Amino acid sequence: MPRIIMHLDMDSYFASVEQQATPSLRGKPIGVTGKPHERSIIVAASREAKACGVKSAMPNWEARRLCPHLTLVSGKAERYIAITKRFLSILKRYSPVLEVFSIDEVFMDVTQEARRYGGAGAMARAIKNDFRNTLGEYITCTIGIASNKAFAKLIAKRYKPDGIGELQDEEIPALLEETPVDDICGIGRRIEARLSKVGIHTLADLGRESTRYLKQEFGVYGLFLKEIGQGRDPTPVIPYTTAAPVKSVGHSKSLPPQLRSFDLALLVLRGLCDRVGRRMRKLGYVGHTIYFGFRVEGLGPHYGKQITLPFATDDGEEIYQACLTIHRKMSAQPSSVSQVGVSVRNLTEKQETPEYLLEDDRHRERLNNAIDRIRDRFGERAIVTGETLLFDAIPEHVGGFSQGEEWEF
Amino acid sequence: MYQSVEEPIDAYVLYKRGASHPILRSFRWGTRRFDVTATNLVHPEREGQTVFICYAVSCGGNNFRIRLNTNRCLWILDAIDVEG
Repeated sequence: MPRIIMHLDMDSYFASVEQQATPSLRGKPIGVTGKPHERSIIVAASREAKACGVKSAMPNWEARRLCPHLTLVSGKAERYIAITKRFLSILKRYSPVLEVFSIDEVFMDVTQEARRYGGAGAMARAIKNDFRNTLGEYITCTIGIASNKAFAKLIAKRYKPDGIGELQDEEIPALLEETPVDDICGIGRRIEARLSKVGIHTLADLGRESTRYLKQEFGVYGLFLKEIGQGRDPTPVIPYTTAAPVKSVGHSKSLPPQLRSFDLALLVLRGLCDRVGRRMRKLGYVGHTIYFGFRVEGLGPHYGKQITLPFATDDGEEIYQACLTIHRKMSAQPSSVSQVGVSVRNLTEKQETPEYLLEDDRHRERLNNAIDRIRDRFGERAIVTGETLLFDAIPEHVGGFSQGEEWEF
Repeated sequence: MYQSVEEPIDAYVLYKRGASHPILRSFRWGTRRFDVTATNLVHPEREGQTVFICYAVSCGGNNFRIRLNTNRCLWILDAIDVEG
């Protein structure tokens, strides 16, 4: 029995939510941004703004140049997360095999359930109707239906906005002939360039290439490419109930021009380490490997290095000290940086690690636990280390979006 | 564009069976009463342990943002859409 996979993609999601909340923004070109400031970027553009050429990740100044009447709106992650939770609760009523792909994209395996609604198309219409009644008329979605995930996503992209696209198996050969390889999620610019060099431009070209060659060029990924080229994608829909293990916890931050000296960047880094430690304690992990990276000013190269500690940690100060050690070992010692980042990898569940033996370590753990309790009760900024006060001031200047938010569905 | 107000208001609400939040029917700001004609969006927000329920509502041609502090049962008019 062939699978029936739905890919549901919210249309101009953040912008639609803002237009739903504020009727005076409806029908106007709007851009959701971190801070409505020239240095910030567009996180999401409304349909009207997209029609003027405004795209996600475009700097605000460029978006304003393309669309002089663009209204910039400060995004509020909590609002979008709340709406996502609401539409997920609707979707869970339709199928339990539901994979949350991102804050505004979901895959559903409806092979068993579609018949109950009179087919996948009718089911998709019922979902859209439920969305309209529960979320509001302005928050719409596009649904792609196919026998696998890659093609459900592909077909959804072609029916945007507010559409339903259903791909029948007999339509696949024609689709393969006309679809460029980079239209498939997972085939990026680099792979597309490598394929293009050997004359592979469409999915059908990919399907005609030998498995041996693709495996030799791309390793195991080549087998996936071959399947895609033949209109297949065996990737299963991973239900939301199967939590993916956390592989790393990290934060990075772009710096405003007045904070780009390396010494000030280190203070920002201190704040980032504090946030990483806090998140790790919330998730219940400790980590051995610390990665520290920075970008030299003016979109220069990115430098990064990691070290593995002899002990696992979830303490912001220890993570920070490890970053300083990494920095001392690095060959690049720039005077000015535009971005700093830190992540902790090689994670272990804290409950599986032995208790601290030394009193200093126990003291640090008790202190962190006390700080966490204060933050849980009074908010993240209720208690901070002195150095991080500078870090907390940064969002006033640049367009940080979703600062320190956890997206847990 | 919203203009910040941050003033307490009296709210007339309906606690509907099965609803996750009270339904705002009308509110009094100063001496004026506004009847809610459309609830555009409702979502919760959290600050520490305090949960706020945020309402984006329209009253006739005016748009308002209103917040309920669920710990203190306090209704606040957050902002008015001056273009609304």
